[in-house]
Amino acid sequence: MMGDQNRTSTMGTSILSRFIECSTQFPDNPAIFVDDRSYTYGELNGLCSAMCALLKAHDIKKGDRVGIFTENNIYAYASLLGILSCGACYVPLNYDNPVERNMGIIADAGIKVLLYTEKEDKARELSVSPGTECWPLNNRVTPNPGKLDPVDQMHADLCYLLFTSGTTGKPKGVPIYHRNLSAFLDMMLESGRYDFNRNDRFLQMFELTFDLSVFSFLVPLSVGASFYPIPRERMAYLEVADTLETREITVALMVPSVINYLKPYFGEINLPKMRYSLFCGEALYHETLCGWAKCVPYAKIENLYGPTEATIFCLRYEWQRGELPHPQGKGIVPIGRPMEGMDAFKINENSLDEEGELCLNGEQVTLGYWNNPSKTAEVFGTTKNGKKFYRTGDLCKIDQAGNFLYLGRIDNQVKIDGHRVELEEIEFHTRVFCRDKQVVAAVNTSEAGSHFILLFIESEKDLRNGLREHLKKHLPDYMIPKEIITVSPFPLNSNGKTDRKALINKYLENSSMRSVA
Amino acid sequence: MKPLPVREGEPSMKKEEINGKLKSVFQKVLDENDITITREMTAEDIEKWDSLHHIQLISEVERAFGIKFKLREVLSMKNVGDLIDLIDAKQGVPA
Repeated sequence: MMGDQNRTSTMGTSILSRFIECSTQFPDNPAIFVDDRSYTYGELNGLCSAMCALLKAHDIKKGDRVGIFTENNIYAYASLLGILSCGACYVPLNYDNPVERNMGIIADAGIKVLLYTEKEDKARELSVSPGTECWPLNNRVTPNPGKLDPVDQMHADLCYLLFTSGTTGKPKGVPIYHRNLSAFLDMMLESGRYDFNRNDRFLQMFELTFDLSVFSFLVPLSVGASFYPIPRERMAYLEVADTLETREITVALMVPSVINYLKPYFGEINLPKMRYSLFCGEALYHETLCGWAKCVPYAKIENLYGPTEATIFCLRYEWQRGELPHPQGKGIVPIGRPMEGMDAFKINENSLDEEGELCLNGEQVTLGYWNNPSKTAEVFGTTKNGKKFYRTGDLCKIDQAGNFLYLGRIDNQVKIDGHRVELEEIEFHTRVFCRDKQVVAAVNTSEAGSHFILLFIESEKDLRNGLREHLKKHLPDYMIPKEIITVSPFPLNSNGKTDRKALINKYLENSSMRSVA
Repeated sequence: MKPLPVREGEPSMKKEEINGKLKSVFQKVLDENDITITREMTAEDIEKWDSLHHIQLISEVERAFGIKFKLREVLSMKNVGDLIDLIDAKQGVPA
């Protein structure tokens, strides 16, 4: 199945070789600022090397999956790099996830060892999984003066495994291989498009379970720059605003939600040091971006696009100051063209349709889902010329200049603050609780431009009691509906199917009446 | 920060009054009728109080009290007590 992806050649440069070179060249330069202090390249390298030695001593080897209970501290980053350097694959787990969800991921990924630093109680809850060991880190790892010496990596070796929302009620695993990440890094660092250097200060606002984090820590570490992780708090967008200003961040990759939230304060934000203001993960609105552009007067602004399955991002649109909203874009900034080494095209049922499903092919695209051949067969295909491609589920069209425009989804996947959410996953767990009542999860947009989830249940009785708690046992916070509404009966469309639009509109009418009253 | 001017004959709303009004804003935005607010309370204490609700809270507070916060002020709020003090300081100052 793997075809030529299974070549046993060693790669020219390992994904860590640039970091190791930086550690040798500038050991005293700051690498990461976290826990109220900075760690130099030398220190970080020493910790990674200690992690690597510890894992090797416990017979962790190539192909093994090692879990990290993601914390925003130095050990999280050191262990992640340590895992990669001993040839293993890292699987980040969010401790805000319900225990059952994390247990499911541990079992599915076949995690051998789970590393944690704080939240020992939460880690212990998970260690009951058979075959999984649970290790605390802070008191076991002291910097190793020896240099980090990663094992040789093959293109086909696993690098990281991330889990995203799945339509069947179970998260699905997306494995990324060294060849995928290596292609991404080459594109970012060797294409000559970006001039990142060791004086840059990167923002890292993402949880490690979100692949945009990989850009935000691995790119700076590959060029000798430093990065600033944001403490994981609920008001992350405020922390971001504070960090951008006080740390004089020069490269910031953010989800557009952040600037939606900050919109009321654009007049007070001035970030003259910003060189690259990059966006990814959600639709980016032209009007909001025009306001933001004034906050970052000297920055190059890019809208980036890419699903986890194609490694971080792979389409790019360079937005120019003063440009008009795209005539066909419905207020959304285009997602541009495929980056170096990648190819994008659209497929449509009817070849005359302007709109079609966006498909990706190239070195950054993974082989398929983890332990999920049926889902893989559904969305990974082969062209007539034998090229493998991934169907993103995103609806797009291409303008005359060759830029791709994002138009929405062909299915019920939505984004909440950049997190992928399959509405069916929420519906699945609701149906289990409500004993197979008709349910509909939908997304709505607030005045401020942020998205939230509404859950409708077809019932005359109020079935909400205990439902929220039930959902919290299975779903992460961002998937919990903002409001649960019982309706009877559901409105139907002309095909006799539940009319989602009518449901939402009815809710909106009622809620605007409520707020007027 | 500049000291905020206080207009003659327009005494700032008493803290209890602010408290009461603030409570109804919280109840409305978080859609929960049995919320009681204390000075020490933070977002960590209320499940539903996430970044989305935070934005709504701030703008609803601004509307209810006829004031406008600066980003720095929003950033410096550590708990509900800070919010009450800030509202108090801004009362009577045109938004």
